[in-house]
Amino acid sequence: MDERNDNLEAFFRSSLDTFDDKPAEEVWQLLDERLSGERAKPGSKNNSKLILPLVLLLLSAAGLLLFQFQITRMYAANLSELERENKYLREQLSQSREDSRAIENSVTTSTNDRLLRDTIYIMRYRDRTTRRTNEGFSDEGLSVGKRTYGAKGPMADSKANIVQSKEHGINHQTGQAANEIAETVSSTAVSASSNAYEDEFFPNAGLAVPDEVVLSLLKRKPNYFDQADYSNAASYSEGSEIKKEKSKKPKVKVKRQKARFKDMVLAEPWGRAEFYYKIGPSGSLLITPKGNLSLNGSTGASYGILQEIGLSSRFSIQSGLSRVYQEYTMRGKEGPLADEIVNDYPNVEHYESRIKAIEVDNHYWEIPLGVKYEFYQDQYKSYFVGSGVKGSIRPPQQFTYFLSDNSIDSFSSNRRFAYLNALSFSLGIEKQLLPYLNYQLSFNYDLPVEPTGLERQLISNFNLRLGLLFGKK
Amino acid sequence: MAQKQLYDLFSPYLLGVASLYSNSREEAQDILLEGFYRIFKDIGKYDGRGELRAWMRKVMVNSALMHLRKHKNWRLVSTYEQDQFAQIPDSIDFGATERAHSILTIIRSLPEPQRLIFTLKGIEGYSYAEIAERMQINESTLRSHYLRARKKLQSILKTQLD
Repeated sequence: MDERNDNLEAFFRSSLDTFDDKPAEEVWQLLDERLSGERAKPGSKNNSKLILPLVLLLLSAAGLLLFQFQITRMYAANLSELERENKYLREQLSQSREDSRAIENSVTTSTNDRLLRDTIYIMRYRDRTTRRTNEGFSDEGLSVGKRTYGAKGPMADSKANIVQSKEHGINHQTGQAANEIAETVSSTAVSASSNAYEDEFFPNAGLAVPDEVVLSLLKRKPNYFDQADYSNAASYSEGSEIKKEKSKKPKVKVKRQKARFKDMVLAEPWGRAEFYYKIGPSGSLLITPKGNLSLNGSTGASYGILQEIGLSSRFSIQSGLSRVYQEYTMRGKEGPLADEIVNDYPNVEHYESRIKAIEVDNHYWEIPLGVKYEFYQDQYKSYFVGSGVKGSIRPPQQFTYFLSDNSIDSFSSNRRFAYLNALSFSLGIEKQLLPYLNYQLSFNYDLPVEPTGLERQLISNFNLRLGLLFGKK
Repeated sequence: MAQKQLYDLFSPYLLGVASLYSNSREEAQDILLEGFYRIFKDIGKYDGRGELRAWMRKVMVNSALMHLRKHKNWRLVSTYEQDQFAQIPDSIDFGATERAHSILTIIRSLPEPQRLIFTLKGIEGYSYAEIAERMQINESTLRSHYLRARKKLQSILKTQLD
């Protein structure tokens, strides 16, 4: 007994050495399945981790399409209602449809498809011009125009014409004359479009003519309609006039754009004091093109919640919470990453080795906090820039080290990841889908700071983020 | 199939190794499965130096430690009451297999972390420094736990063998 106690450890070791107990059959079955699975589907583990964020992104995209479909349907229903109520509009739409059918039934070739498309556009433009000259010089016409065309671009031009026309004293009676001008101008525009197509000015020439000519006509002949002499109307829409106006068009357009930009950006650069709150789901795709190390397979994805607190009509604070999945391999650009003393645990032997590469499974929670500035706004959309920081909650990350030593190829380690608080810059667009729903698409650049240790990773992430925000300014 | 033959040959012995680090037969089998998976994956690294059984035992111990870490099993509470196998036998059988089972039961009757420390130091032969690094426990605390475990085992053996 005493001898046994003196060699207690040896006694236990030798006793356990004879242990013999057969495990359950299912252990081998599970092991065999796992080994077979490993042989059949290498890398399936990594793919499965990306499924959830990809599904969320697809759902978001499907949601966007659905909303777009809904808006189109609402527009069609609205137009249909207006058509029932308004005899003139009914006639115009009927005419427009007949025109469209005639064009669709005509013989088309690949060479004049573009011409036909633009002709259709011009004809529709003519319809709109006709309607707004007949109806649009009154408040009622403006209201109908708004309801019919909603967020579409021509509304702005229509409004500009109305204002311009009102300045020159046009009333309901003179609207009839303007109608004649518009008809003539549009017809001329169609032929100008055909000519311009051959002269490689197409399609812009044809589309630009009516608006510019009408405005120019009114500008140069402010008292024209006062004379109540409509017989000369057609003479102002001759080809010679059009050519002159065409040559002036780019300057006018640039000036207008500059003026608009000035109005949008320089007027109230800080915006009006305004408080609002928006929140919704978001998802993004990450790409890491280059870092201080050579990276392989550096793509990833994230999903989460995005929220926005408005401080003024231009400034807001953006925040949220995202789950990020990123996996990549780091290699030294020139030779191994570092020397390493490896302990072949549980052996007491130590090997001098060198780390060839580090494979990183980088999964973490990210909390962005930043400021967003909308530098361009109109009724339905805005363009913005933003900057901020991104804090992250990171559990120990899985690092697999690949060594140059012959006896040990790799080992894994759970380590806390080193870099935090990435700086972030963004550029994007926010567009209204419904009165209380916007989508936001932004391109972001994340620059990490304070990298430390061997695992320092000066990784510059680019990511494309899509978010749906519920709430209204 | 060579893998199956290797498994059949060594699994009864390695289940004993896994049992030293588990609280139940099911958990031991989980460790055994993980250990064999690593063995088959890393079999190419075995260079023929030393006994194959000893190499496999090392891999199994590593797998057991990873299992404990993964399931946060560095518990400082006794598992004595929870373990159906932890009933200390009235006497130690001297048939080889029966004796091994009895010794295993005695070791598993130790409270944590004494059981783990005794297994790593006394059975596997790790140094205090290595265990301290792996378990993130102060070396002097380790020594204290180890001596207490040793005393308890001596006491049990004395009771049963005298």
